[in-house]
Amino acid sequence: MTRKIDTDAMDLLTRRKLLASGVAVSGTVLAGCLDPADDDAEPPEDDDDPAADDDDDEPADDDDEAPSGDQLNFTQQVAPIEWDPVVANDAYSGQIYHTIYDGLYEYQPGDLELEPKLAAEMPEVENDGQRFIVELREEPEFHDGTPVTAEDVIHTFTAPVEEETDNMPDVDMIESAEEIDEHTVQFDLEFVYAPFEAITLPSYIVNAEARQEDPEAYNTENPIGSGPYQFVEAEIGEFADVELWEDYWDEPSQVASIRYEPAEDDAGRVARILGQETHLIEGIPPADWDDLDAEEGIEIASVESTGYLYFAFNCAEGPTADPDVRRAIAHCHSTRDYVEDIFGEAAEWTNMSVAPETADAIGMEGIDHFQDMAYEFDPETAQDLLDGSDAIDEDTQIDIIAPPDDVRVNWGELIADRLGEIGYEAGVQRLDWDVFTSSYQSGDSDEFQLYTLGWTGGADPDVYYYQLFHQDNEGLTQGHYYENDEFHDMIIQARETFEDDERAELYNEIQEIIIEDCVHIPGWTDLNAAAYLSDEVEGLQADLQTTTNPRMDHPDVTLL
Amino acid sequence: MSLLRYTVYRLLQAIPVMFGIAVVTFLMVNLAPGDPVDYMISEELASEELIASIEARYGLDEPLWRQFLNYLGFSWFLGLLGVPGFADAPPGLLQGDLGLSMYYDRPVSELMLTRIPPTLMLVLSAYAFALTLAIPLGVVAANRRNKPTDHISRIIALFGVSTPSFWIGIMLIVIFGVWLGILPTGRMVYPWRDPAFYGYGNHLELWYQTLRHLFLPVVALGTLQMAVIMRVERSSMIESLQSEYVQLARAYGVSERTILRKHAFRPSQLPVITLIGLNLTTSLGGAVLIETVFAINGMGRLIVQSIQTLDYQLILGTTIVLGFVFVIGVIITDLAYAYIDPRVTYGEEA
Repeated sequence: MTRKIDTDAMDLLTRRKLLASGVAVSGTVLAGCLDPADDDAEPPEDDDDPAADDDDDEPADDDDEAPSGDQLNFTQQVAPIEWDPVVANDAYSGQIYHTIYDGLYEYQPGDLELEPKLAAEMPEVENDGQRFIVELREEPEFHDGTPVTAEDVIHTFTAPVEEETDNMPDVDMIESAEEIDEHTVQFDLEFVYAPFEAITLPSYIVNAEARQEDPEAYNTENPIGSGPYQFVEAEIGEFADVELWEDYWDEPSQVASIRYEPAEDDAGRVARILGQETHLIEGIPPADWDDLDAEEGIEIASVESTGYLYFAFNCAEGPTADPDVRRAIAHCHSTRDYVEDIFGEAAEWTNMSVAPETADAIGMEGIDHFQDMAYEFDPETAQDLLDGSDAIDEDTQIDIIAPPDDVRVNWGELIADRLGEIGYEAGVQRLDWDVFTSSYQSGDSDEFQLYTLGWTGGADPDVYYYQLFHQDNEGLTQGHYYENDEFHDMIIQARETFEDDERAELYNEIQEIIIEDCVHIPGWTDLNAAAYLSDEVEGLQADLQTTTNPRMDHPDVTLL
Repeated sequence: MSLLRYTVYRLLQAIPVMFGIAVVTFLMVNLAPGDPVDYMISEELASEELIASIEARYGLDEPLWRQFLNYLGFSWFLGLLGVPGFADAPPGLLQGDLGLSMYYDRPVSELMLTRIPPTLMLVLSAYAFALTLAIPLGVVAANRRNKPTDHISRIIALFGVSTPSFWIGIMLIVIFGVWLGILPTGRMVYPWRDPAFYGYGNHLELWYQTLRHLFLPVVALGTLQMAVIMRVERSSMIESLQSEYVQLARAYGVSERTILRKHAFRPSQLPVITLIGLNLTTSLGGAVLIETVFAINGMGRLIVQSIQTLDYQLILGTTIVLGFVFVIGVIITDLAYAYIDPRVTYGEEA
């Protein structure tokens, strides 16, 4: 069976109307979308349109989500996903929830100096560093009006293990957390863990009762903290709103509300600040750093981060098991020149396997000391070392693996090129994260001889040296499988020693061994930064940790 | 066969295709090298206990065949039938459950539901933009073949088909957003939201801002479609205008306007309709890039994020749903084709 169509009727309906409506719609869209600043465009009918007041010289589209009124617009490089610190462990969620919650202790903006926040004073340490007693302030309250008590603190520190959340490794050294009274908590540790005060205690305290009532809602819809801002509403990938909590117990912030919006694309994020559609962006692409810095009306707040980028060798198998081969590879190129060329102001070359600020916090030798120990660019020495090694010949291929990150891949390419120039073969493989991770964790010389990774680090050297070098973490957070009993003992000794001076000495020695045996080629520490509209925002401070960069909870931040 | 029966017949035919899409997608995602847990713990603190906990939470500790049955929802049915070992089996695809996103820790269907409206708005607007420009330009170009109008149209079409949409998007942002400052550089204002959410006084202002925010991404995404449709429209119109029945009409003294309007235009639209249907998924593919460039919170951006974070459940869910959309697009195209062209049968006779 076939079906006939009434062609005459269709003709009447389509052609003329289609053409006419096409012209009309196109014209309307074109005219309607132009900014009122354009003389030929019709302004919107509403006289209250803020755009109508714009100065023609202003390039901004400042009549939509643009900076206006009491709301600060913050553009993030990655979308945040959850609001419960017990569960959340991504830095971009932290950029929001650090305004909603108060920590038991908090770092001062821009450094690693720890100060009590919900705690009344620094903890009392007993039992040779295995017991910490924390007294709480009595005045802090959660956004629902209930006081912050020892029960809330205990829940915050025990829930990650009880619920096996991703934050479990942060607190699993706690043997018990007991309530001494309503405002005092006693922590007993399974072993002496020196970084407990600097790393573990500065946790954000959740409202135990509200959280236990409905953990899922607490994480996604109704987080209740005791911080200067309270959560309003969020749509994942679109926005998250917080507003000032008027009954905040401590010195309040001065911005009435903050809207966080993600823009993952670097160019799009930079365009937003150049177009003045947002008050600030974080995650400044190195290539755009100088241009943004030179732009009138835009300033960059920056501080060295606790991050650390490095190359690690396969120390267990293959040609790089020979320390001379590792030293030769370090000599055959200049990491310092690479970092300076690629990053300029946006990162600092380092020859330490720990962030300089973190090293400084416990009194380790400074960055200059270890920079003096760096393997200088010296192709002749590199060639001599390689020629003299039995572990490698000119037919040996050095396999370098890197995650999908251009900067790290290019660093690998530089090493491969330089090795090629002195007659040794090397190749770089750019791998997806999952494949990359399983490859470097294997420690198999058929998979790699060098891998490059980054580490977000933290406020204590143990976070770097134990996680990135100790044999307990072979196949997990380290894949170099470096063997040196004395070295591993020193790492444990440092984490179980309570005196900073002793720890600093131990870490200095550990760092020197890392350099001498060339386990890592340290790369750089990048800057945590935020570009902001200097005519509209004042008092903004960058912070060392991405989670709190910039410090939006700080009372100095003001919208002009 | 009636149109209704033909429609039902085509829908039934689609079921095994959709099942095939689900099976192939599941196998491709799971047999690819890599482990999503490795991604989750990369550059983070990790322990054996944590890894085991993550694997158990997302069912990754089960053998692949069991994960397959779980995902499709067969395990749930086996549980209903009382088969041992399947008593607590979770619902799956057949029960409308697309699983739990490993990265977002939320149901995949919930994530997708919030992302579909922005993508629909973008893609449909891009199509509206493409059609309103492409069809008139194609008709005019064909009617004035080898004249300046035709040459200009062909240059526009050549530019459109040979320029990546994301590049057009970035250029539009730079020119209109940064240099001229007359249009927003990204994000979207949704007409279904309360104007107060954006700080607008009324709905008129909201809609006006929606148009302003939509303009650049629509041009960036719609340019390719516009160029492709215009080229097909032009060549199809030229073919019609050279056909015997048009020459006969001319011989009878029918005016060129009437020939163009009544005799050439209609039959020329069949290839265009086919193209529109089949290009639906191409547009969704383009939306992936455009949504990323313009920071629009749609399905395209969700797909990119799911791949970047190796979120198995989300990759599966988005891929399968897009596959279903493609199948449905093909069916609608077939039905429209059969409805419009009298020469197309419903399958019973020539």
